[in-house]
Amino acid sequence: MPTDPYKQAVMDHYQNLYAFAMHLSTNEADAKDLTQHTFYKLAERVDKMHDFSRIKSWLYSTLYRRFIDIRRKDKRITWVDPQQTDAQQTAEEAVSHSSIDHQTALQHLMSLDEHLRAPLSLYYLEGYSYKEIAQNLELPIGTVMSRLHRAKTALYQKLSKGEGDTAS
Amino acid sequence: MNIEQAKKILSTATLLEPQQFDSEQQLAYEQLRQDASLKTWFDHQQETDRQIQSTLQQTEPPADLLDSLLNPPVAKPERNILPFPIHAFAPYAIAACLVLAVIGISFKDTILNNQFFGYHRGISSFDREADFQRAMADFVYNTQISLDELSDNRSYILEWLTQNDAPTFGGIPQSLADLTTLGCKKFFWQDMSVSLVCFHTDNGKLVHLFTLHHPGQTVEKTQVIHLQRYFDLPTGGWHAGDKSHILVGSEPDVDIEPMMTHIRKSKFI
Repeated sequence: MPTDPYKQAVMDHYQNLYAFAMHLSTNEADAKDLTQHTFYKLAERVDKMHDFSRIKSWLYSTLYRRFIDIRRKDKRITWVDPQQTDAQQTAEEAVSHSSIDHQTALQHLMSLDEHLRAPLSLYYLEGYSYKEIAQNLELPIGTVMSRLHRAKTALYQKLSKGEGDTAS
Repeated sequence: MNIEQAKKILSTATLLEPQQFDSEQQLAYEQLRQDASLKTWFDHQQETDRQIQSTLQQTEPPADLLDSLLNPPVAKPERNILPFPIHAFAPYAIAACLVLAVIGISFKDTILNNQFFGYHRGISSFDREADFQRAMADFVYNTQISLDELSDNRSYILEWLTQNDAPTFGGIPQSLADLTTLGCKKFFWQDMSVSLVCFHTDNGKLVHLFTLHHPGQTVEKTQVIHLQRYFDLPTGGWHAGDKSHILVGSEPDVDIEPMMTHIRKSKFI
């Protein structure tokens, strides 16, 4: 580990952490605040940390917790049963690869429900397995698996629909 | 494993290499060899996901973010705190202690018999339950609750709670028993074990049932814990035997009142 673990953590993770914050909050100002808050928390406790191998996981968990805290105060989150709604989203749409650009993918991702955005964002940004996502978001593995599947199905549907809209 | 199950599992593995698969993913992956349409589906998903991944990773942070993170505002230096001149107040402190000691001796019996203050020593059952009620509403309102176990099988939930030394709910009102469970959780409040069981209401909202076991405070007759709103959420419950049960609605309009009719008709206070 370099002499300044805080700076190293910033350099290594701030871009993906900001992207995660952007996917969650859907606006730049809040994403910036969330990222700054997370690194502020890191700066507070970096001297007491011993295991730097888990720093990335700690950053994602801290940012996600902060996001949830803010949202709880801001707007009540509707809870849904993952098992119940699975059946509602089984349709699979064929997505043409050539149609995916950054803005389209970002817009469609940000239009998903927030409990679907979080696991999907970690899946794409970090290539995490569902077990790692469960650990980062502090959710049961089964829940993450269901949400990930539903989120991807919903994203594919949106991408496919967007493609049709463009074509017509 | 049927095709739908295989797809569900494989859709979480599209960005991984086969050697990174866990046993479940490996099992689903094996099916690709026997099912050409499944293989086509997986190949398409893999390619699409890699495209989405590369596009989403292009999200650019604001230009000034890195600088603000690397050079955070510096905290003010600590104030130079002068030590409290305790020696100057020592004679007064000694005199005050003596006066308090005399008062304490004079009123010892009265204090120990609780006649002076008019209530029991320590935290009364009512105080503790009121704290518990408020704390659980706070928990629902301000915390992102991650359930330990998801199940719609109430017997299984009771079994899980027992296995994990969490308080189990005994008899529950019919109107609550009629609801489907979502899952359960065990946690600690003031060093005491608490269980949480979540139920779906008919309109897609939730009722949380918190159970606290406090062996020192057994009641012979079931007592009502009054309906109150905290954070605008409805809360209420009952104390039976050595357990307190608190219901908290997930939304302000969840009606928990019918779930307490087994005690006595309660109104919000």
